[in-house]
Amino acid sequence: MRLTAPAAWLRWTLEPAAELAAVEEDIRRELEFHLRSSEELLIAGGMPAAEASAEARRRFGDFDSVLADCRRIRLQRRIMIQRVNTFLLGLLVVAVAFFLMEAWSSRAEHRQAVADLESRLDRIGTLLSEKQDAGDRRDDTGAPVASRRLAETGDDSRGADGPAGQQRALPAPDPEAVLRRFNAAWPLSSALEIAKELASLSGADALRIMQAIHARIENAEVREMVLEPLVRAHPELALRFLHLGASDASEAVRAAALARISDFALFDFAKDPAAYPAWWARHGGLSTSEVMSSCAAEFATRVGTLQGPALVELLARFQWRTFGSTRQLGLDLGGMLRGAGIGNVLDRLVQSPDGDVRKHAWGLVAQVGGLDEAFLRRNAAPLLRAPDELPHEVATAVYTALAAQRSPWACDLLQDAMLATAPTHPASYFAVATALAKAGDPRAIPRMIGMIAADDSPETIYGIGWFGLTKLTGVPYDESHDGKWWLDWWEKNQDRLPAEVRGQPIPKVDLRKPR
Amino acid sequence: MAKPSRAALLQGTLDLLVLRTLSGGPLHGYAIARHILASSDDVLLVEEGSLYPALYRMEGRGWIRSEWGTSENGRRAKYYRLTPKGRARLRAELGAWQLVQKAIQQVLDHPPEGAPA
Repeated sequence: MRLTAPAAWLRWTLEPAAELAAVEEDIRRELEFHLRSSEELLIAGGMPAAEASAEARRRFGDFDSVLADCRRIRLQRRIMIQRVNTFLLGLLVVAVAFFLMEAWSSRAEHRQAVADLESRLDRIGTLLSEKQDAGDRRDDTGAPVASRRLAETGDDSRGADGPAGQQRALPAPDPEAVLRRFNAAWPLSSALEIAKELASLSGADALRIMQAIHARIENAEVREMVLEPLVRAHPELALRFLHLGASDASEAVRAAALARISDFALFDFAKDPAAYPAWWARHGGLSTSEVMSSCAAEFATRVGTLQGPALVELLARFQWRTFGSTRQLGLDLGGMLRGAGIGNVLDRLVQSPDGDVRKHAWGLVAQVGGLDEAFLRRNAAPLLRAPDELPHEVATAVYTALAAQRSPWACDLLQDAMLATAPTHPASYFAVATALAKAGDPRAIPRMIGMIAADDSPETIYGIGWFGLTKLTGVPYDESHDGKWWLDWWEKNQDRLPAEVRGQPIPKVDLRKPR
Repeated sequence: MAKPSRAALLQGTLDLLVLRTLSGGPLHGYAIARHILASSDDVLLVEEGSLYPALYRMEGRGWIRSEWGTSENGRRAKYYRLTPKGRARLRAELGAWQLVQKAIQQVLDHPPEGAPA
């Protein structure tokens, strides 16, 4: 069969030439041996040589065709294997080429990312040094030098600026350039980085830029997320930044901003968003501290006048989350509330006949902190005579309030409460041991060991051991650390403890009788 | 008796003849062709060229094995010999051939009634 030119080329390409030649030579030698033997026999029979040669070839048939058939049969399997090998090799080459290209592309992307990061770090470093070295130094246009850098980062012409750190006269911060960066931010979380850069400017400049562009940031999620870095960087302007969110077109952005503002205002705008405009009209021009002081006074008044469910709802809304978020910004909400006279109000509420009021009032006592010794002795000491009769939240709040005092008398009260706690109330162990550990008074150690020595139950070993002794002694918790183990530890290690603890006897605790 | 004319080798019987020929010992291709022709009193004419593709095919199937040696006239020649697999194949082919031969013979020995002898 005649092969077409491409097929012949393919065959020639896929069959190794050397192998083909060796096989062909082998076959040819064999066939020629046949012809010569046949020819010799004919000559021996008397046939002339030339005639014998022709007759031998005639009897043999088409020499080239036989040669081709033999070669095809001999190489059939090998050719098939070689073709499969060639195909696999081709696949391998393509795969390797693909992965190399991917790796090269990825490397280039990583290099670009590293270069971007380095560039950003340089810019941040420059901004920081400019802030430190030049203070409020301003350029000819009156804009702070630091703010120029931010505007440059959004400007397509920044490549002409040369290496980071080199200064040149630039226009004042361009809010539009910052806006373009926010709108081009992808993934969306990268908008946080832009917001953090913005936060590194002076509060006034950052606020001016945000006021100019916030409503025009296209993505609502970005509009929501960019406010927090600015709030954290400039707590005194926090409400001004959050007001941008509270005025947003998106309900979700408004809700998030109002929830945050509620913590500063001590007023739940989530329940009454319509009250916000009037509230802002009264407070919009004030710093965050001024607003909070004012709102703390209003809050103390409201807490003092409200009753029943409304009071409970108000107290429940402003607990640890509110205090935590304002404390994070360095704002002393507890101090402001104490200054507003919340102590007197709480003095009454912690003795309220309403259990829910008492519970939340103690929660507020724990968060406000700093209430005086007389308040706590008057209100906490009677409750701790029978701590197991208290609702768990109240007991925990009382313990927390005492622990925050970090004073010996408070620690004594907590230790009495621990001894008065029955082993049938392990949650009380957890709470009181946690408070004692927080109070940090090592005098509690002997009593805690006495408790475990008196009651080797898993609840006591865990409650006192994990929440108290581990923190006070630094000994890692182990459930095998029973009373005997702790007594042995005390004998061996008490000399390493502060002088007022050394040599103290381990009290014998009788769990079967009132303690 | 007139000498019968040379008959072309029956299709499919070449393998059997080659295997049977090699059962006597190793031979080169030319000797195989000569043996078949001589053993059949020059009746079975092996088309000499067609012998070699058949030999290569049988070698590929593992029935025979080849190696270069020296011929009776002192030349290099490729000798073929039977493998165990080839012997088994020969037995099978012989059995089948004998069955066919017997069946044909029976048909020839029992013509239908009324047929000319």
